[in-house]
Amino acid sequence: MPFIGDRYYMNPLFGAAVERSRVGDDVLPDEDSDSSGLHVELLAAQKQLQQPHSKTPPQTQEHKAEVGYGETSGLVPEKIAGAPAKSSAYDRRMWDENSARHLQEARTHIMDISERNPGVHRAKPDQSTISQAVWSDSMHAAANSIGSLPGKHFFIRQQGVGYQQPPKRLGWGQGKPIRTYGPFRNVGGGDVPKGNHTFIDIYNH
Amino acid sequence: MFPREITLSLTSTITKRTVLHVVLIVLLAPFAVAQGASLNHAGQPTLEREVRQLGLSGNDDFADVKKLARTPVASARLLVSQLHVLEHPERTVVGEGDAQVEHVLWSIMALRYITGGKDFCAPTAWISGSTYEEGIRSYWLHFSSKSCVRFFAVWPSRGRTYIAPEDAQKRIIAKWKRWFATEGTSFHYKPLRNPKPEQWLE
Repeated sequence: MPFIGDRYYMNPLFGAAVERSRVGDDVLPDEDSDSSGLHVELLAAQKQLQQPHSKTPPQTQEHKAEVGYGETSGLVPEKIAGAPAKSSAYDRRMWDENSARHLQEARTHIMDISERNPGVHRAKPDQSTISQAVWSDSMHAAANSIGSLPGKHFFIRQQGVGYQQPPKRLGWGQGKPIRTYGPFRNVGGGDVPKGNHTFIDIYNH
Repeated sequence: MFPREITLSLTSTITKRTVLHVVLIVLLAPFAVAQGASLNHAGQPTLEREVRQLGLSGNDDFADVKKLARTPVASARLLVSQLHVLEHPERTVVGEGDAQVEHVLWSIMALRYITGGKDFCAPTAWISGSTYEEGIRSYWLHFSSKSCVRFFAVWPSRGRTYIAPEDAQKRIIAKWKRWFATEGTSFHYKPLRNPKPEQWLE
């Protein structure tokens, strides 16, 4: 049941919480205009998330969600065809369903890799609605992370802009990736160039 | 032949052979010394060249580091001598850095490799600001320890390298120099075997 109230949600519990708290806006509020009522519901949704569907214990799930959040919080799925150019990057009605699913799979994959390779950026969200939404997505992805997906490294790139593989000095990622997720849109921090062709490459060595 | 004659003849033969050996040694010694000097002369510049080329564009750094591990004491001495403070450490190295930066980073990585993973960190007076980039830099530099920073740190999934503040760089270089001065020649060098990137490259 990924669509709730005409919007796509990877996490139905989170989606239901958002839709219940919606006051008529078409898009999620900006980071600065948080709603405390929504926040309470989001936290409630997160607690529920950890219960029946998770394949990992709650503490492990949160530990892994920190990886998904720290490494991919700036990424959103592709827009559907015909989406208005001005629509918010966080408007889930405008997210392409396949792209949204792939982004969640990619998050699960890098969480699996983090079990074998500790060199990952972990972070927790602030109280803003968008941060909480991405955190919720990360928690959902973490629920599926059981360490079974292959690879030891991952690299995030913007196709055609900047580095397309890690520097030679790192000693890995100089060949062909074993799997590539994307394209996604990078609307976040400057560590990866912003753009609509963001890919996550998985490497064995 | 009487016994006395036999004795004299043997003594004469031994004397002649001894003299011959001495003459040969005297005649050949300069060539041997010259040859030895030539080998030493050729070996040391090769080692120096390999160390100086570390991190330069097009150089096979991984192969050179393995070669350096064969002569660890001489290599460590040269590698420590290459360390110097990198200016403008607040600038993130995206992908490959310039030759000077890459050379110092490779010197540190080579030291880690030939010593079996030895490394130093140091405290810094630097306090990160509130910007995203500074927060990330602090996160990675403190990745191994909250109380001290390593000479450099890498965000693997972004290929971004963060350099320690200058005060920490100075302290870390001093630690390497002190270590070599006190333990460098007696240290039990055991190069890393099939190391993980985080053991020496990150």
